[in-house]
Amino acid sequence: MRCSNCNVDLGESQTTCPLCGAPAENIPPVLNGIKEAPYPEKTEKLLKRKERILPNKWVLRVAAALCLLFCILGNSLLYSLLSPMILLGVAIYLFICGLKEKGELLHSAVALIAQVGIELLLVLICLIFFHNANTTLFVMIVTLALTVILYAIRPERFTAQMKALLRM
Amino acid sequence: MNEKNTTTGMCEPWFPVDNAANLYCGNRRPGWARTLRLSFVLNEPVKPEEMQQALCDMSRRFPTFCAIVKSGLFWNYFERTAVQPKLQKEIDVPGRSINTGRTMQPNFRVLYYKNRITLEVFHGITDGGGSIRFLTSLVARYYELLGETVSDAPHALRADDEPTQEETCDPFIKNSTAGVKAKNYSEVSVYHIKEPLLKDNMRVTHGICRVEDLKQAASAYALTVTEYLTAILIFTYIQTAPQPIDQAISVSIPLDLRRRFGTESVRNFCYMSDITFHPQGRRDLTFAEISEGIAGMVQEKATVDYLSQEISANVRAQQSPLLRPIPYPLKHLFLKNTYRKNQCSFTTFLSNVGEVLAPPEVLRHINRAEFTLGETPYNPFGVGVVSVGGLLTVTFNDCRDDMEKQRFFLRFLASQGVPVHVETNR
Ligand SMILES: [Zn+2]
Repeated sequence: MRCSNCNVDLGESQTTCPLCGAPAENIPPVLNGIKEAPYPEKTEKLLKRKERILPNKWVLRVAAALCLLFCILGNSLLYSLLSPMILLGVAIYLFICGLKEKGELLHSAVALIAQVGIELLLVLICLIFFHNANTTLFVMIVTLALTVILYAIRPERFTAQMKALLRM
Repeated sequence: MNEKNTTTGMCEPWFPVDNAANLYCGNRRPGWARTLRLSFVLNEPVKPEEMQQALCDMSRRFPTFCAIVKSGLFWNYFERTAVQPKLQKEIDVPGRSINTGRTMQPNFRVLYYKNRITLEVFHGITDGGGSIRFLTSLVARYYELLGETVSDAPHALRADDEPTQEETCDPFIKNSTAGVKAKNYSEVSVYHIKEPLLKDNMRVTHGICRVEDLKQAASAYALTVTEYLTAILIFTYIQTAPQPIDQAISVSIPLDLRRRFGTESVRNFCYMSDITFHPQGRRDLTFAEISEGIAGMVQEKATVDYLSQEISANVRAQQSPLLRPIPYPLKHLFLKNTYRKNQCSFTTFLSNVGEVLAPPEVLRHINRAEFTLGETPYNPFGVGVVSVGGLLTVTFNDCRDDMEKQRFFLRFLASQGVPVHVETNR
């Protein structure tokens, strides 16, 4: 097939010239031995492949921010029970992620250490404003313990994650 | 791979981004990352099972490909992933951006459709030269699995060899010299296409011709093939612009540095050169005048001395002691600005990745190759060039609904005595 309008060869299956839209003419091509390689038909609704998506790290950030907010609001039930429980849940989640092969993507080790820092801040706030930080202190110790366990189980991955994140 | 073996190329679970990748990593947007696309059109349909096996073997051989870009406190870095890449049947638009955020998949994909096998890879992972190395090795392994005896060739890495440090190192750092000052991008006003981009609507148009015909046509103007194609591209811009162009037309030309510096790295190692021509608002310029104006422009900037200085300047900027301790979110603002300046400093690009060299047993199965850059929010139109076995393919990627530039370019090429075969995805 050819388009004499454009003076170019076209594929055997082409009915119109993609350059000018003129109908393809049944003339032998000048270039021989070119293999046609069609593209998939474009469907009306593009089929987007579902690639496995990781949990958003913003979830963890929002959890920490909420806990801090509860504390500042001063609601005793929220600061003494709900915030530490959210943090405890996040710590366990990070720990499990850190154990899994794919969990390294979440920087679990780094996130756990950051969480210990946030909890320490919460303990101080609770002590100053409410004179009672038992639950939060307990969660902080648990988080710290989980961090140490993670290091003991996977020292290489733990160190590698820290190095990678802190690379300068 | 032996995790403890320090003589092999890659034993750390993470590795730093190289100098070029820094820019591509820093410039990602939600849902978009600079993506390269290289395809081989084979003489027979692809057999998915054998190709999947070849892909598994090769992902071990190319450890820097099986990685995901991550953000650290001070810099981005690549984290190696244990997730095996999966061969996918091509169903989407060509060059769809690689998802680099919140994914566990390596930052590349291998696609097949009938007799076309395609690698689409995030530019942070590798460049055109590295893509050729990967796809050639993959296809060589595929034919080996199909029972062919594939002879040893430096261009196709063997699946059973260990990756070397030479292949996985950062070639920019290795080839930079101390004492060169960091440089700034100049802000020259260049011409840009001002047309809306259509999302998820990339059109690729291939113009296939014989390398010999093209060389002959180029030699009539005393130009190299890259210069000749660039001259036609500039001529196309001048002739198809709605109004006469009174700004410089600058074509970005990536230069593969591997051969010049004698390195085997499969990571990024190219330098962005350019050819700039000012039409001074004239539409009556002849092709010969443009050819004369740009002759030798690439060669001028392709000397090892000049390139070495440029590489060192870029590495120096990255390693600046003032920049290093700044947290990444702040650096990101700077990088984004650098990339924007860089992208705005040229009109379009013409990326000639050269000839695909492969063992003869593999070459006889490859009909032709196609190379292009994926969709980009900056530039709706660009050109990729690659050749294999005497056939050269010029691929236009275009996110607009207009074929005027492709039509002008290919008709002009045909009028110069170069027979052209045209194919498109739409
Ligand atoms: Zn036509």
